[in-house]
Amino acid sequence: MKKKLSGVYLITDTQIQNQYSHVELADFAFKAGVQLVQYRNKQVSDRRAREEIQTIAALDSKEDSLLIVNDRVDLAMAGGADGVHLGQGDLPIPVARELLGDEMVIGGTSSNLGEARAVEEAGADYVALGHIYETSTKHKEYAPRGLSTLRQVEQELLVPLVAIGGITHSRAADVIAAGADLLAVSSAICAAPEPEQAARELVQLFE
Amino acid sequence: MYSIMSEPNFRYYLITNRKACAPRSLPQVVEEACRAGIGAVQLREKDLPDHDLYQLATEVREITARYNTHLFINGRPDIASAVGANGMHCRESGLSPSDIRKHWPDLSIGASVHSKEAAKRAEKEGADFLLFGPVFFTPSKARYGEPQGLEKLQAVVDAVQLPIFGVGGVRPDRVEPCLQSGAYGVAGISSIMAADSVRQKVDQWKSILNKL
Repeated sequence: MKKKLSGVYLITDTQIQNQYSHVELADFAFKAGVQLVQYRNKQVSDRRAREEIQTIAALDSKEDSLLIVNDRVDLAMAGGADGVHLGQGDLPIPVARELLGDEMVIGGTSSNLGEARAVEEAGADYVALGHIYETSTKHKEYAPRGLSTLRQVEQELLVPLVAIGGITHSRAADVIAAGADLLAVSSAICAAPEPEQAARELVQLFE
Repeated sequence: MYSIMSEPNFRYYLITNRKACAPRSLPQVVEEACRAGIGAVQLREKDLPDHDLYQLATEVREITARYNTHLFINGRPDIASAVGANGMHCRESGLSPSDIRKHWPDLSIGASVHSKEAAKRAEKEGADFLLFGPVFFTPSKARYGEPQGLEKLQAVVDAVQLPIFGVGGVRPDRVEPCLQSGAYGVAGISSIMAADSVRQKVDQWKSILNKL
């Protein structure tokens, strides 16, 4: 049975920093109590990505945390991850559900209430909404959504809501107060001087 | 569909490139090729976003199924499985044939290899047939260096038990040397994709190979 998703959601990134690998970042995060780690690596071959996913899935530190693969249902299955995160241009969620079954986690991206509703109706286990604030991790073609959109979406959805985009330690409490079940971060952990400590501080906001 | 131990029932493996079809659409050219009797199509459109690739694969599956043509999807077992394709075509740096066997056991497996070592590995990992090339010069692969040539094709044929398709610059007049080197069949993109008359080109391949 899937447990209720709540807490910190790390998206691994080795482009904003190159001191730590995806595996190291995931290990830091699991040790700090991060609930969900999304493996996001568009720089390597599929064969290599599958190996890294399998390595992360087998980390002792993982315990009850979940490993989600960005975009790719096949890599998630072959690498033994717990689920997949799908953007608007990826495989349709119902198609992914058919391939993955009910036990695997599927998350979807949205940038407004209409998309968020559609993602939930398509059968996602969580809906990510963003970007909440300006972010430099990913190029965006639209303005930040802000906390008002987050509050609005939170009132309409039944599945857990992930806030993403520009979330820092100083903004985290406001985002939780606005109704986010999970905080998705990349720079706030990956680019921190001490990623494990940075993750722990975010995790503590949920305790 | 054939099992792991049986041979492919096609001798020409058509690889797609929607850019080479223009201004005709890819589904239109695939349908002409199927109607002319082509036996196997590999959908290889690596630059498409997943959502678009899935939609195109669905459309091409519908066409190929109507003509009993085998459909393989390059690099994506999830999409192959989702659209009900016959198989999946593995890249050397992609998910391995053993991954495919384990998670998508219904899919037949073709694998591209560029060396004898890679061919042995793919065989060990459970591929059903191999694509080896480029055998001859082809502009699309020129950046990878000199073509491999017939001797290396022969060496790969000798190194593994699997059927080998020669690919890369294989024109109709170069089929005979490939078969003499032990190739089971040949594969190509532009010959059919860019043909003025798809039917005539398919007929030509059929007469040279005796079978498609």
